[in-house]
Amino acid sequence: MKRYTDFLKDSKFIQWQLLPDDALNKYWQDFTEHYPESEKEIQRAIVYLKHEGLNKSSLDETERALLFDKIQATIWNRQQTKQRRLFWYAAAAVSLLVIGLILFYTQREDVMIPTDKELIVGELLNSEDIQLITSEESITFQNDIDVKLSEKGKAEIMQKNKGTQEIDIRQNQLSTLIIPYGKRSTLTLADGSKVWLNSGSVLEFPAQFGSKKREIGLRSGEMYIEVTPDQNKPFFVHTSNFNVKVYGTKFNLSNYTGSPQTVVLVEGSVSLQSTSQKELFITPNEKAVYSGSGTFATQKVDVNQFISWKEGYLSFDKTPITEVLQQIGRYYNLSFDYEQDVNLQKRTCSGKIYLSENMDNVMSTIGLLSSTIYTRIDNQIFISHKPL
Amino acid sequence: MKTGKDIAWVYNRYVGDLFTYGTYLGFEGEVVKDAIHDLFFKLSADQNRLNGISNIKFYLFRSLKNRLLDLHKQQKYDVALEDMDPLAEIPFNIQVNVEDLLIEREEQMQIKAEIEQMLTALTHRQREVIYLRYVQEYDYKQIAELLRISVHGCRKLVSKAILSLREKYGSLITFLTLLS
Repeated sequence: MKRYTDFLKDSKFIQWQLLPDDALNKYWQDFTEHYPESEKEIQRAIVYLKHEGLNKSSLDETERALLFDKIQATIWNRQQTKQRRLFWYAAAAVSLLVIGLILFYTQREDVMIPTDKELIVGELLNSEDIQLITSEESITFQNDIDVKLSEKGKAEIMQKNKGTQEIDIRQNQLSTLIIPYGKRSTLTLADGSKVWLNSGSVLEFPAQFGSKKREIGLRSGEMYIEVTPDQNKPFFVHTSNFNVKVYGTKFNLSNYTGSPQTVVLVEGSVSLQSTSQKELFITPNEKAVYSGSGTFATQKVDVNQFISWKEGYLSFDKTPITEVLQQIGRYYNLSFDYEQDVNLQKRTCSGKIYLSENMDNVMSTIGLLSSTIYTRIDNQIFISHKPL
Repeated sequence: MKTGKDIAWVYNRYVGDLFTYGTYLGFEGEVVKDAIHDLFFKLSADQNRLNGISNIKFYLFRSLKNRLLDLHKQQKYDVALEDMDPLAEIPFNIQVNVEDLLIEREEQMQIKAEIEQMLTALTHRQREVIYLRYVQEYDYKQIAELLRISVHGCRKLVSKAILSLREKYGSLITFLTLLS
């Protein structure tokens, strides 16, 4: 039997769809009479051609939302020109907040607040800007950035959807890059080492490294780094409790407040040095968790689970839903409230989640993977049991 | 507003189609976005208008095209003071998308090539008529208005298109003859 894709390949079919005449109508009428079983596939081909094949919108979700923000801002601008200035600023700020909510709200008109008592309740928080603080200036960015440091004390900053700019960074001073929740960025250091920074991270780095060693500091958050090998200049990553000494390698370092600090080694070799313990070497595919008392617990892991965030997806294996929501929450800037201890929090989640621009899709996927139901009303999020 | 026709609703419903139409007309994405911005701004200026329009989608398509043609004229004027009919030069190129067909890349390319080949056998205006009629399901009267031609002229474009395809692909042997 012919599949719908076979019809899409058939010039007689396309011709009939685009420019039907009597002969074509007759031909396809006869065809379906002889092969009534292909009717469904023909319908499918028609639907595809009309809605996707010839009319695929190239406007992505972000552009769509940004354009609407701009329209709303213009509308507000006009309405507010006669008002006092101060008032206008506040109103515009509020309007921009409201816009996002209207956009989402209009897409789901028939939602009901779940009445089940078993609920995990969350909230979508306002987005903040990425900040790059150098000794000279502080620059903010609305979108994710890729920063590249050159040997001559310049930083090339590429902002998503906005283009590139270049700034000077004074060589011997430390700069700080702050990535709020809901944002991500990368940073290529002067020696070519590349750092991926996850949401909610603060990283300190110099524009140029000294002659004896290379040092950066992850004050909070999570990073994955691929360090350029250099035998003569060891590379150090500092955290509040320990240092990671690197010998040319790839590893992930997680340093979120409220979660255990962990290092997962992908390739090469690193050693960990806490103030109270001597150097501990870990091997690839090993995870080291800082215990708080200055010691580490190590175990073998599937590294992919720990570094997939930089590729735009998360993978879970019987992970408690609270942990899943914590990771998703950082990514999309959501805050969940676990104060009410409900059974729902013991659910686990297995599978892969692609971190698309559309948070609702992602939350619905979590629902599928954990057998729960996701509902959103404005910026309130409810997760409830699936009815039996 | 509970009429279901507030700006956000209209925007969400039609912005994808409007953007596609604008880019098919050969305008840069940013220009199309600006035009969409302007037309929604205009629409918001008069809420009564929004409620009074019976076919909001057609109204939006027409306003978008008018706005784009205005921009096009301005551009032409800016670039070179050529004394040409700006209407005659507007292209219409349909982007064929096969990416979300769940089949192998090679087969996707085959389908894309087949459809594109057929579309290139047509003129820009013919493609525009087909897009408006087949994809957007406008009637001849509306299409004629969008193309700024008569209904008769519109029908003539279609029959000419049918003829071109017949020329290219041969006239059709009926299905029953094929079976016997």
